[in-house]
Amino acid sequence: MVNEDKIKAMTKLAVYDQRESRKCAPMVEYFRSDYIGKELLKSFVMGTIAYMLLTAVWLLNNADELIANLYRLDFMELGLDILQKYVGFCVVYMIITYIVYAVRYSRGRDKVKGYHKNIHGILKSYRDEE
Amino acid sequence: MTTLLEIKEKLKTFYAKNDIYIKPVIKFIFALIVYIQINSSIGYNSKLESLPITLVLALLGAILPLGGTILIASIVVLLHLYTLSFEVAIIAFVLFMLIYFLYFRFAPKTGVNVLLVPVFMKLNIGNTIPIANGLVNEWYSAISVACGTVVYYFLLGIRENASLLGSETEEGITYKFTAVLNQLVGNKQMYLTLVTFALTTLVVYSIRKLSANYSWSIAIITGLLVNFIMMLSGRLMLGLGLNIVALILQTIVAGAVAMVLQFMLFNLDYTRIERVQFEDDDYYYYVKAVPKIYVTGKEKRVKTISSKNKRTRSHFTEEDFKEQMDIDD
Repeated sequence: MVNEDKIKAMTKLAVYDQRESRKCAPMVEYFRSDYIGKELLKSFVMGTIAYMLLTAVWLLNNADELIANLYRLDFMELGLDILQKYVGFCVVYMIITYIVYAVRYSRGRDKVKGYHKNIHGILKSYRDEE
Repeated sequence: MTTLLEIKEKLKTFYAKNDIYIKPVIKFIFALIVYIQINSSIGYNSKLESLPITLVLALLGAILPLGGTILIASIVVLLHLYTLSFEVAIIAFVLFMLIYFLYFRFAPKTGVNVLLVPVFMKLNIGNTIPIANGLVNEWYSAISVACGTVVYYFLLGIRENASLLGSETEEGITYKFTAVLNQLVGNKQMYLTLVTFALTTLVVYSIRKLSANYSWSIAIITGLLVNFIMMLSGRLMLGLGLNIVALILQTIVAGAVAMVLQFMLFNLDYTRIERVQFEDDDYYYYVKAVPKIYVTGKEKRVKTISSKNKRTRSHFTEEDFKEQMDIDD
């Protein structure tokens, strides 16, 4: 006799295994602080590269003006200006990263809890059958 | 209406049975359209433009995930632009890298909009994409729609100034960089389209997520109105060219596509709403259940079994019976 409730639960487990298990694996393997810290580090590196690209483009765009005013240019002021904008850019990017991955972590944990709840339900039904 | 619902159920059944064949075919067709459009817009490299190469790349798109198609399309664009001018290719490379580093690492699945927006904009039905994204994706897909808009106008600007950018100039290397960057920095039409599309996506998303009745229909109509009014008023205010007939036609097409999406994905019968309340150990639930509209397949009813004619009986085989009763082995 086919147990419909067991089949429903097992189907949900199979769907989770196929779709979500890879995405939710880090939520099981890492503590919250480690997971978010890892993503913040990645964002720092990527954000730095992105900012360097933007700065390079800006320099190329204004190269004529910069070269013409080379002797009058205050390099310290220019450097500080670039650095300030870099810090501001990084701060905003890291805040966005923190929010995105904190939400993902808590949602992933909820899915994992649901997965384990389904497993317990199936094990319980097996025990009841015995 | 019943016929349409039956067709929908048949399509769903057909897709469910054959999705292992259908998905690669759809991906192949999509990749082919993308590469043909790239070649027709910025096909400066004659080798990449050739049909065998295009077919091979489309075949790769059929096998690889969508991210692979996006990557191959980016490389094809860069190679075409490199043939035109090194400076243009550098700026395009920086643009793609920025889009990847700042957005795609968070939401790679919505990256297909970077291809879809230029494809649909070239077909003059670009406003279909923000409405469809608002219905189908999350709110942050507005960012990928904006990225797709930027890519489209960047490539459009390159194409319109190809003779200038591709020629040798005495002005110096920075002249070309400035000319290329001006396609993005000073482009009022791009900013208008970008803001309009992003806002349309957000408006459609916000309304369709509500638990109100007919939320999807209201979202579609509101999104179309927002898009139309913003485009109309923006073009008039900024002194850009306005073809009101084209705008109306685009809006109608976008509305038609959105209605099809609603029919296929979210077809509910609001006349048979059920409201229930129940509780468990932790919560008290107020539930509003809206039934989906669907029809089961037609039942085959055997009306007559003829056994008078021996000849007929002898020719009525097991296969005929199975076909008539719609029995699968």
